Amino acid sequence: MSGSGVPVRDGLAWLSAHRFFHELSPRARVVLSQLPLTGTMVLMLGVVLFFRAELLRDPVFVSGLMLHALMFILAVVVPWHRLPPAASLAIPVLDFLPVGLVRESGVDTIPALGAMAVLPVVWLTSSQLHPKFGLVMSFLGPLLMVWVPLVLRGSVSGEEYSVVVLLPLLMLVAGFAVHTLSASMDHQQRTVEEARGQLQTALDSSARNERLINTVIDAVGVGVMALDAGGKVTLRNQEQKRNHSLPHPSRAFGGDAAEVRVYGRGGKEPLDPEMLPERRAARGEDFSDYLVWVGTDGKQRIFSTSARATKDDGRFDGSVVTFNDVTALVEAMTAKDAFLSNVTHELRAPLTSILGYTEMLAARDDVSPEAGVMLKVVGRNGQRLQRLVTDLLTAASGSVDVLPEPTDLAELIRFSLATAAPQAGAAGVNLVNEADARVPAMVDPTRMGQVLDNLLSNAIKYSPDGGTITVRAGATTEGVYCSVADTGIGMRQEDLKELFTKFFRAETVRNSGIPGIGLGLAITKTIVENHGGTITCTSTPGKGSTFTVTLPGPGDSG
Amino acid sequence: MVSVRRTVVVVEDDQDIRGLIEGVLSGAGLDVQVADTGAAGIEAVRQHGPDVVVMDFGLPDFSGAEAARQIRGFSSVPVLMLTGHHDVADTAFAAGVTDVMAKPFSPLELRERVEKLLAHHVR
Repeated sequence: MSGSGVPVRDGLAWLSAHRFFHELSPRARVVLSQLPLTGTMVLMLGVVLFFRAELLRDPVFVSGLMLHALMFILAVVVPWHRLPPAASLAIPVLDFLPVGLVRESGVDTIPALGAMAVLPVVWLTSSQLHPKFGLVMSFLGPLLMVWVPLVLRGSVSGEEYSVVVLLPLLMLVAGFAVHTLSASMDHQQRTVEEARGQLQTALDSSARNERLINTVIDAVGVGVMALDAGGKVTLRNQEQKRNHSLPHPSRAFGGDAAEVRVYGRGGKEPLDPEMLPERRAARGEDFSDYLVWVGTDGKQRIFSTSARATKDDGRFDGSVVTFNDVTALVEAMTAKDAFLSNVTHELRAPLTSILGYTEMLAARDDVSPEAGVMLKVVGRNGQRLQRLVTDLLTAASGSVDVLPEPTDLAELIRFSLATAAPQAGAAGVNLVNEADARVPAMVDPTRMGQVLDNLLSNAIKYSPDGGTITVRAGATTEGVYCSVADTGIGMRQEDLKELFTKFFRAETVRNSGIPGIGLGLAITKTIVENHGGTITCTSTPGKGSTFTVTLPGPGDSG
Repeated sequence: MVSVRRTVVVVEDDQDIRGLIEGVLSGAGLDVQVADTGAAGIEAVRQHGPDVVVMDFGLPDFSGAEAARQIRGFSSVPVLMLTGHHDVADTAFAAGVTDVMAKPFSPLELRERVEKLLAHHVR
């Protein structure tokens, strides 16, 4: 399409004239369209006055002039805005009459007079109101203009009629050319207007999106900062401005790094300026939950920072850094851990006495067999309490030291199964060992024993109606695996996600009335992960659960 | 050669636990001297010159580690530290403690550990 190929910039030159014309009132447009013919008439009158004054005595010529003057007055006075737009075409159609009269009168002395018909033709064909009518009239008008005088004169010569047809034909060609140009211009204008409209819509939408994004960024309770490719701050939301203006963290983010007191590793060691979140982000690094301590003692605040680099065609184009003030959260966690640690420590003193004296009593020869059984019950429950306390303390400290050494996992499994046998027997659960005879692995035997004890004790605990627990273990391509499968109460899918979270207990478990505090699996997971291993669980409510642990093989050093 | 009865100083503020340790170790044929604070414990070590010291980590006046450090100022007696905190082992060893045992402990194991310390420590 010719229109669409025209660059918008070039189009604007004619577009402004075009727009100007179309923005005028209907009357002004009619007058403006009539003006070229009127001007030509005035010019022609001037020529006639000077060179062919005799024409002014011809009533036909004068009536032509008068008629055109009338047409001009009509163009001015008719209330065009009240009429349909096509009504204005009556003027160029009627214009053929004065032009015909003037031509008829003066064509012999001024041959070009007929050419004035081109002006109404241009009007008719350029208006685009009724293109076919315009084209027909651009031939018919001039034809009538040249034939009617012949008919009135009574001419019968075919030759006379034929010769003058040249003018209407020329007019038709001119009309056609104007029509084509005008249609093309209209098309171009529409295209440009459309493009302009789309551009405006896009701009509006983009402005709206920007407002929305700015509102969202300001509404979130997280400090957000944007950097350009050079590491310069290009955006900082309200929260980040507040962070920035806090007395101690001032200048911390995006300011002069030399003045900043930012710490890493628990808020004790000053952070290398190159390791500041915004510096890391400026290097194009992506990171999450990177903790920094800002400010000095007392007013120190802790921020969890994250960064995402933005890419333009794969090239680093800047970064967005978020600063989440987690001070209150960390303080609460610390208080909780301190509380747990204190409580469990306080619990240990009475436990020491209970367990110690029970053991000493049980070892005496003068204890009756009946009392001996009772002492065993006291001792067993004391041990259970001790395990809970140990679990709580491990959970509170959040760290489990693991010292891997070459160990036969199969041996550990046999030992744990033997330990669990009395509990399983009491619960009516059948223990099955399907592990390979030897499973060499690189694990901490004490800690892995704890893991196996935990998984077995859980499996027995959550098989209240008896059933079978199958332990499997063997080598895999990446190391070793060990699985504990039970036929117990199982869990729902949504509970599996939270399974290894501290103090979490699945719904089936809570409904079962089986006691527990939800620490065993959290600790189990920590131990396994500290070995560089993984623990997963699959489960079906009512069918049972299978826990699978993967661990480094004997050749792995950690 | 005259067999001398071995002496142990037990520093523990919890009366019941102190009684338990006393019972276990006297049952093992040791002469048990007890103290319930760090200061009293140090004084007892100075006074009795024991063959072994069994000491709680959490004492009312100062920590077992501090007590051990002060004892090391004048004696090389083996010190067995009892602790309910599982993460104090490093502090304890740094203070010159010979062995660390977690609370709650098995009386039998306590006895074995003390006897081991005595066997290694030749007067």
